[in-house]
Order: sequence, then structure tokens, then C-alpha cells
Amino acid sequence: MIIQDKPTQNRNPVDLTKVARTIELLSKGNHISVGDTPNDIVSETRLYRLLHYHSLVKRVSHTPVLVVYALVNRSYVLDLQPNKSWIRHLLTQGFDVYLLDWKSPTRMDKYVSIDDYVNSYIDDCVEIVQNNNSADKITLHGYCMGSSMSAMYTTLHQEKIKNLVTIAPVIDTSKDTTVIANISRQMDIDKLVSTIGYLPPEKLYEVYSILKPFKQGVNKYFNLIDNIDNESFVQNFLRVEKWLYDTPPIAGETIKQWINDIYKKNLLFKNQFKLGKTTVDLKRINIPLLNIVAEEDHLVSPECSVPLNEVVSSEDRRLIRFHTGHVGLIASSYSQNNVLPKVGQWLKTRSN
Amino acid sequence: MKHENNALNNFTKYDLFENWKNLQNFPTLGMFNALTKDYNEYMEDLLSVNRILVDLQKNLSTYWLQMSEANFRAVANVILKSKSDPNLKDANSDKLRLLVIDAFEEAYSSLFSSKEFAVAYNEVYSKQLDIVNYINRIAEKNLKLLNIPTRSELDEVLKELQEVKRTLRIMKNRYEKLDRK
Repeated sequence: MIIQDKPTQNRNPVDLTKVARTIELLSKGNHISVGDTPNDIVSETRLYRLLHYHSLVKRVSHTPVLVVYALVNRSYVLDLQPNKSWIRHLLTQGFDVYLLDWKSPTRMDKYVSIDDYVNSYIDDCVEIVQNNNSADKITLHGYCMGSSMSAMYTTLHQEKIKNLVTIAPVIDTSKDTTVIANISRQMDIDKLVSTIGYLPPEKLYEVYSILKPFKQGVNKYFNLIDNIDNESFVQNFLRVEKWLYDTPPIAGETIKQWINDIYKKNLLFKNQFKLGKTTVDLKRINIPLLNIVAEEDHLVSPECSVPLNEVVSSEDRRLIRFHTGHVGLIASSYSQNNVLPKVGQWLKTRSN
Repeated sequence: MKHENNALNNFTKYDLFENWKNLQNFPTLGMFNALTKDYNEYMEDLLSVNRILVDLQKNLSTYWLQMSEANFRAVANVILKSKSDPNLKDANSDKLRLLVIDAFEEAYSSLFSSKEFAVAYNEVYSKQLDIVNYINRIAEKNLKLLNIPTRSELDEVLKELQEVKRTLRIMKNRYEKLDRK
């Protein structure tokens, strides 16, 4: 059905059948498969699963890669669909890949802190990977919050890490110009945690909705209507949409430290951030570092991530900037063609 | 809108609630003392929740004022730009759609990146949390009456449990280090 009351120049008729099909598609819910690359769960606790991916080609690297995902949304964005999978691309380049997939904390985990995430859960997984591969050292590879936690871990357990690869790490928050940083600086997180016990997903969705409210929040649905006949576009849209609205809560003590110490006081960059009784000193990092940032990142400003290269002591350190966004860095055709080949090349020369 | 805000400010500044509190604290005699003891506690709760609701209303007014101003800026921008370009007079044109999206994006993004918005947004949320806290307090009181562990008591247990886990982890690491040697 096409509505066009009178023929006018420059007028695009509104195809109501497309609109109807879009509404039907969105109302059905997102029953779509994600994270399909074959893997085994090598360890599972209440708060994490450690996945080991099956090799797709002959391994060329002796150093296993442990990917540490962020505490927001779900790790399957790294394996969203076969032709846009960060994990699959690393496997096809001959790496042995593990993924630290965080599970949902509950009220029971109110007092789980960043110290527990770094010194307990990441450390447990590093040891499992070391033992599984009989490797003295591994490559630690973080994304977003996972990058910041990987950097913290490396300062304290450098003897276990050969290379550090970070994507969009949160480091110098005084330079973060994003809406998230703006809201975080004013947030009374102590009251939120004492009242609710954790950062609820609804609060995260609320903040996401004001990041790019019209260009992404509204325009994406117009694009979907326009492309409703394009199966690949629709599948990709549904996968990203599923991921956007699938986030676990964040444990109370963890989010308190994250907002108060990292966003408000900028303690990580000032080398005054504490994990338990130990101070995290980023200067201690002296292993090879690859830091990847997105020029159009609206979740973590590139200016906030870049200073990692300035504070570490590593002689072998590299910063690569890409003209894409936070998610575009890891789950897009751009990422497959531009980002991953460079990451693989950098890793290959340092993984034997 | 500004006028309305001032009225709300004056209303909360005029401490109606304090006067009620003072009145409740007047001494009573005999059995009235016992009767009013419980009554006063509930009355105080009721007053404090009213105070929170008034503050929430005040903060919401500031929040919506900012949102309305951004909306006004965006609409004005669309009107100005569409007047200058005859192609944009067609309500169905893609160009107009993009112009509208750009104008709204610009107005709202600049609002959401401002400190004023962050303050207003967090004040609204903070007052909403105060209401939840008020409900929690009532629940705690009732749980205590029924001799059931309250949330704050369970919180203490959880805190200690996490401390024990940490201590165990430290002990395990020390033991493993010794074992390796």
C-alpha cells in the first residue's frame, strides 16, 4: 500500500507496508542467534564463564590470547555474527583465543569490588589459560572497562603477561567529554548503591538513550524501514539491537569505585587507584602495549584512552586510531577489514 | 516556568514541615504520651516523604524546563533552515527528515553534555532514590516487628562474607607461592 495523495515533485511516498513489516519485526522480539563460534566452557563460577574457542586453522602463535570483556552489556558483541566476529577473525589468524564472559551479579554480590574482579576472577582465568596451554605468559586483551581492568591486572601480575592489548580503555577521565562521563561526575553513586545494592540495567539503558538520541535513537528506525527488504541489514540490526538491550547489572562496590575513584577523582590516571591495599601504578607496565582507540567513540573519548601510552614505561608501545565508533571498532565490516589485520600483525610478531 | 520554580522554592523554604515536627514534640501527659509515641513516629515518616515529594517536584520542573528549552531551540532551528530552502517544504522529503534529526540531535546533545543537565538529572534520580529509601525504612521497621532479618542486617552478613572470600584468596595465593618455591 502506497500513500501519495497528490503528485508532487521531490516527494518520497511513504510505503506503509514497509512500516507495518518493521513494526511486526520489532514486536516479535529478538529471537536471533549470537555468539555462534564453537567453544568450550573451561571454567564457570557465579560471576564468570571462561570460554575457549575451537581452532579454525592451524595455530601459528604459541602465546594464548585471553580477551577480557567489559562489565556492561554482553560479551557476544565480540562474536556477533560470523562475518563481523572479532573472535573468529583472531582464530582465523591462527591465535588460541579465550574469552572471559562476565555473568550477572545480584544483590548477593553487593560487596564484590574491582579488586575481586582483577585479583580474583581475572587472575583465576589467567592461571587456567597458562595451565591449559603450558604457557609461562599470555596475551591479555581487554575491551572498554575490560581494558582498564587488564591494565590494572598487568601492573600487579606482569610476570604472567607477555603483551597487553587494549581497546578503548578508560584511563584519564578528566579528558572524557562523553555524556556518560558528564552524568557520572554528578551521580550520587553511594546513595544508589546503599538503596538498590547494584547499578540496575534500567539505569544503563536510560543513559544509553541520551548518548546520540536522534542520530542513533530515532534515525536507526527510519533506516530499518528503508532497508526492511534487505535480509542482511535486518539481521545485523536485530543482533546489535539485542546486544544494546542486554546488559547485566553492575555489582554495588564495583560501580562505586568505578564512579567515585575513576570518574570523579581520576585516581587510575593519577596512579593512586587502590585494589585492596595495593596501589595501581600504571608506570609499572613495561611489556609491549598496543592501544586501540576510535576517533568517533561516544562512550569513551579517545582523549581519555590515549594517555595510557603516555603513562606506561613500555619501550614497545603503539597507539592506533581508527575512524569509527566504540562498537564499530570491534563489530563491523570496517573492523574486519581495517582493525583486526593490524591487531593480528602486531600480535604475531610478539607471540612466539 | 521560572515563576513556578520560584514559587516552589519559596514553598520549601517556608518550613512547614519543621513546624509540624515542633508541634509533635510538645510534651503530653499520662497515657497520651504512650499513644502519641507511635503516632509521632509515623507522622514524622509521613512528613519526610511529603518533603521528598515536594523536592522531587521542584527538581522535575528544572529538568523539564531544560528539556523544553532544548526542544524549542531544535524546532526554531528547523523552521529557520527549512524556510531558506524550498526543497525542504515537502513534509515527506528525506532532506527534511535529516534536517529535523540533525537539529534535534544538536540541541539535545548539547543539553545532555552540559553540567546543568547532569546536575538536574541526578537530582531527580536522587529524590527518586529517597522515596525508595523511605519504603525500605518502612519494610525494615515491619521486619523488625516480625523478628525477621532486615536488609541492613543481611547486608552486614554479605559484607563479612565477601571479606572472608578475600582473606581466603590471599591465603591461597600465599600458600601457592610457598608451594612453588
